[in-house]
Amino acid sequence: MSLHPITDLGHSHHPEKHHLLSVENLHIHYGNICALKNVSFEIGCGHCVGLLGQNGAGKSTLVKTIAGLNKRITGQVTWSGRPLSECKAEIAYLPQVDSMDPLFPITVKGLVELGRYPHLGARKKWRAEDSEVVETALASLKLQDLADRRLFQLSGGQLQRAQIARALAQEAHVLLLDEPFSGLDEPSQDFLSDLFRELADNGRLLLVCHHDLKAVPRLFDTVLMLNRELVGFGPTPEVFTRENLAKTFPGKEITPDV
Amino acid sequence: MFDFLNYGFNQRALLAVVMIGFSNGALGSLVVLRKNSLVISALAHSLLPGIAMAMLVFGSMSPFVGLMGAVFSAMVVGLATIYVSRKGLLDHQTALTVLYTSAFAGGLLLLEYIPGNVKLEDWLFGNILGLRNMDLWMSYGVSFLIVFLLAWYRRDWILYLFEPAVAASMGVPVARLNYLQTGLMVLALVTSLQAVGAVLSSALFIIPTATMLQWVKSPRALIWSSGILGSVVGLIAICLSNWWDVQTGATLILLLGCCFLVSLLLAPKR
Repeated sequence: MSLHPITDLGHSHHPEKHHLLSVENLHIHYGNICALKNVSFEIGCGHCVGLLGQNGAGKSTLVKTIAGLNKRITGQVTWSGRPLSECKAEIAYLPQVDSMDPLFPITVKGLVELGRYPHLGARKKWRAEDSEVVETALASLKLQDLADRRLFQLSGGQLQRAQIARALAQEAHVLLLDEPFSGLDEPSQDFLSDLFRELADNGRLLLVCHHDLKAVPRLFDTVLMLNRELVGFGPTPEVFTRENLAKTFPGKEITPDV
Repeated sequence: MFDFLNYGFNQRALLAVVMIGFSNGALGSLVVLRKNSLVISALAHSLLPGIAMAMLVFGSMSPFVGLMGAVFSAMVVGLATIYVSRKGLLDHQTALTVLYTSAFAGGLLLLEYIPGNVKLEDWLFGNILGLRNMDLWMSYGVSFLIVFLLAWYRRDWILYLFEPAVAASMGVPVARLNYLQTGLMVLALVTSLQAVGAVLSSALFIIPTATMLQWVKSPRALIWSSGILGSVVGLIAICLSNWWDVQTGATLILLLGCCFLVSLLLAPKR
């Protein structure tokens, strides 16, 4: 597998905040229900971050907010010092693969081509270089042989790879993934975790919603533990502790598997 | 063999069917991929009271009066559906069905007060030979608008249909496209009601796409091939209905149904 490191460094207005995802005092309410309370953290590129928490703890809400899907928030979310609305191309959102309609008339290649949308300019004109980027993305995920397949002809792991190829075609720096491991068999899980490591080593930032606690230390170098508010955030060996687990999953008997 | 084309009303019918077949067929791809098949038929029925009321108020049926009435009742039923499904602990489709059947019944009663000879049958199955030049101009305008907007937003539509959340995160104007799709659906329905009626116009939206879904591998191919299928089958239906002296609208839909069946049997299997 050969993933191309990110070479385009862009031009940021805030060089000190370059390639830094920053969430400050984020509050989100749905009616009277508080979904997220006072969440703040900062992280740069090159990490694979596990978002841990039980159902309803706000993992999906946080990921959707960083994807720019929640318009009514209090607090600030910025990437490289710029508001999210200015970084549509740099942040890729990868929902659970079950949310895709397998009968939608599209091939793997067509799916990956969708990633070029933010780069096409106002006239949405397709150029030769767009095709090159798509071919490279397909090749780095070993999807060339599946390029003409329809979605219903793919396994869960292959669908997930196709989504990641779409994010690579988007040339995104931040990948937001919602439960990518759920429903995958063991070989696909191993393939995916190796891939995540490689993407992070090549300078991307991965934020991964995850509910299975078994493999956490192997999968993620950083964890963000969430229970409506931030329980813990930092390097996995320091933060993924029994004490924090008890706060993140109250009422559950869990021991960290280190 | 083509002598029937010497008559003005047949020429108008032919032009209208080719245009409506294309624009409704192409727009139908959006409807089907958004899983809105039921909504289009509900919308078609709920336009009746609005158009009937407009005819009562203005005393005659013209494309503009029809459009005003249709837009009015589509808005009322659309907004009421949202209100009812929020307030009444029901899902959206149930709320829609309650409202459109009630609206249709109301429209039916209103029709009795309209002077002249507006028949329910015309409403349901259209009166393609009764088209006037003004109706044709309206069809031209609406068909052009539909094709233009489908082409203009060609990449946006695909993302919006496939994964609305991903589309929004990439900056696709999802809310605008949603309104645009509904607006175009109402416009397309109003123009096709005169020609093919409420029942058949829903079929013109859905069947070409259902047929082409068996063959194509990309949304873009689906949109344009559904339009072409609607047009070509419309053309054949006009000829056949003249040669055999049968109803045009019913012939058209039956032919489309046959195309679907043949595709189902012949297309490559999953």
